Amino acid sequence: MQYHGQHVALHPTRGVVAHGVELDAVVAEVRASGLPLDDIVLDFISDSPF
Amino acid sequence: MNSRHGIAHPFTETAVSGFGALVQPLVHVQLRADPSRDWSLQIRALVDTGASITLIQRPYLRELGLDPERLGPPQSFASATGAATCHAARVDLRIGRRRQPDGPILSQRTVYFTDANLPVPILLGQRGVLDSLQLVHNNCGSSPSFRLNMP
Repeated sequence: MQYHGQHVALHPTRGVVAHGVELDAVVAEVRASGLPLDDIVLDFISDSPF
Repeated sequence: MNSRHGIAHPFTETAVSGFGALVQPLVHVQLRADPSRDWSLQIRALVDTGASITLIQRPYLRELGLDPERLGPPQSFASATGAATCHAARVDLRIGRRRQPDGPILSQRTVYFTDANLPVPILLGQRGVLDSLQLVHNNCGSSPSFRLNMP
């Protein structure tokens, strides 16, 4: 794996609601949170911006 | 179809140390392996008009329930930052937010999963994705936006 950064789950009002190196763990945390999944967007915060 | 048809996506502004404010055409995308599966969570994607193909971070394979054994053979590609390897697969894409169900749907398009260090989870490239959509780019004025519509 060559990724340099973290996967994040974003909520429009709460901001970052889960983050981590492994996408699976981030998605599992979001699904366990009880937040409406329609509001969540998965993103990646790279160590280099572009 | 006029240039105001469809959903207007605002440009996303991000403050980056050393570079100031970056303004990018980012959009929400949902993926599924085929119509028998549910759509994924929303995933951030960059409208990358300079890219020939659509690239997706490899960990999303598992989110889609795609079997890595059924991917295409490894293929090399060159990006602005160097060479890397990717594998082809066919997926459905829905452009736009989940609460905007009238966003364009592209069925069984070839995309490429990669371990390369992408700046966002998905780079939407030309072949099979952007070349199937009408992109209206309006980055002038006080509320710059873009639209991705079915032609």
